[in-house]
Amino acid sequence: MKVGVKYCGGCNPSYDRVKTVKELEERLGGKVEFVSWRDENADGVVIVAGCPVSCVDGEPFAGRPSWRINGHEDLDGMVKSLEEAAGEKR
Amino acid sequence: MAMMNAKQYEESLRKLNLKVYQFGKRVENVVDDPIIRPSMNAVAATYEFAHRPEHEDLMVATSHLTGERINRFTHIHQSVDDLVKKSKMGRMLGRNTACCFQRCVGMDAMNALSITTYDIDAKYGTEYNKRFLKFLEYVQKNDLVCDGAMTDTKGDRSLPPHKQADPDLFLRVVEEKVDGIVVRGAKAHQTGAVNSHEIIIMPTITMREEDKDYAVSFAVPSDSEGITYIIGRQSCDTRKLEGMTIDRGNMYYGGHEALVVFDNVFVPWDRVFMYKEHEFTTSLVENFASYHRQSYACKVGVGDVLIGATQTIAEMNGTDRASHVRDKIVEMNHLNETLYCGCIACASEGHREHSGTYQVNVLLANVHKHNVTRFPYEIARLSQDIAGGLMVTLPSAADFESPEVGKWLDKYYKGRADVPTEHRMRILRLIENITLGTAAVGYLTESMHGAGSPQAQRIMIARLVNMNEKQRLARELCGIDKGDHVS
Repeated sequence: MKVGVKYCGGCNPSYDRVKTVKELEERLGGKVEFVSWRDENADGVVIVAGCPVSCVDGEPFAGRPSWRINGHEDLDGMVKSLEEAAGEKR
Repeated sequence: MAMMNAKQYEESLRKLNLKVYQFGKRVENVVDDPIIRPSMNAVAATYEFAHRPEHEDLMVATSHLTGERINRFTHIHQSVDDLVKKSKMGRMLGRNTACCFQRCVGMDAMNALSITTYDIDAKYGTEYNKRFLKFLEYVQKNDLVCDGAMTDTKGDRSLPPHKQADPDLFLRVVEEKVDGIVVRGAKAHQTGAVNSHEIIIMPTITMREEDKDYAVSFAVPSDSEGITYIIGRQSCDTRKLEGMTIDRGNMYYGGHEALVVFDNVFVPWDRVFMYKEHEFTTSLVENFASYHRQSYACKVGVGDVLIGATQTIAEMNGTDRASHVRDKIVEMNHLNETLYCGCIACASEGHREHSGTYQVNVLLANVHKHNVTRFPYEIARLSQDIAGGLMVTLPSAADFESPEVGKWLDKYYKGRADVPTEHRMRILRLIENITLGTAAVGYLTESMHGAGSPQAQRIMIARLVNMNEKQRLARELCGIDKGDHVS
């Protein structure tokens, strides 16, 4: 499954967003390929926000599956959600 | 042309033929000059970050002229969201560079001109806005850095421009030609001037009828004939000549200011955005000042770095668990986040001008900047308090490397046993850099005087606050006047 990644701008993130996405990718063990959010072939978009404000506008992704990470603590849930989505895709 | 990256920006600067002086000599290679180079790096970061997925949401905007993706520093704010993103971008870049990244002043000048040129045209049927938009499109398409130049050298502050002993102490029109105008004067404290492709000139104060030759705004390429730059000194600047040593504090970034002299510079008409319409100088000055006061969001980011450095040195010194140290760090954060409240608030309460450009809440922008004239000083004082005197008595990096005395420095300047002495030295040098070295120019004195000295904000606050309404409320609630209240 291909998933686009859309970050917030990172004005004052409470965790390392880029590192967290790498960690997510590793934990998914190749089940998900992360690409740019602009990739029209992506099956969905993971929105990675630096804090609970989660200011990224979701409008451009309306109609596509999307998931949000607002903190490192969301990682476990995200692994589960994406594994499920990848499973359904297969 | 697409948005440039850092490398492309650097190459674009190499094509300029700037006349720059420093330490009494012409700088032949501006880009690689060791004192200027860190400031170029900081501007380059504004290009590079626009290409990083983790920052593009703040760094990239959509042009209202072409619909293309552009660097936010060339954008005209089209919504409150744009204004908020500008404030957030300032913090983000401040925290990643710990210095002035110089590019906000041109963005603020362009946004102010987008409003004022429109308003002049509405009154006089001129074509300043059309000229300005053509210039803006050129800036956006080529992803240029503009130096927004407002501050004249001003001479005797008690006299208006036309009464100065030397008429050039405010930049003025000295000749009108068929194809343009010739200007003479100088602009002081020009942040990032030699890292800029274009210079946008604006009047520095409200001009009266007698001063109409000084009521001029225009843009010219930074290497135009007749322009000379004289680089300002910064505390500890020559440490950059010592190579990439620890003594620099900030290993990568810095800022610069210059005096920019205009010695009979020709400006073609299509680059003139105000010409003697003196009654619009107040509008241009205030629109620019309001945007630029918002721009001090960057100091919150520098504050983030200073707070991080202070916590780190406290841990290295073994003082981080002392209650007064913890309390002082809470105070630093309180002050820093209060600054953030101001720059977010003035953006969130922004409004649409007739031109379509969004302007910040002017009162709140002034309140924000007024806080900036104070809080960084207190944050810096607390940082120095926690860091200890070693920050200013530490021997040089060369002494640490000396085969004779280096071992003594390594031994006696050790803090916690598990922390290398060199690490302690590095963090102390960073605190020194921000609070009294080259970066203190931006973090402290620029916070005081940049975008207007404190008194300028107090005048605006006094003018903008709705005192009559406050009095009405008070008079009604104490029963002096009758109001429509629940009883």
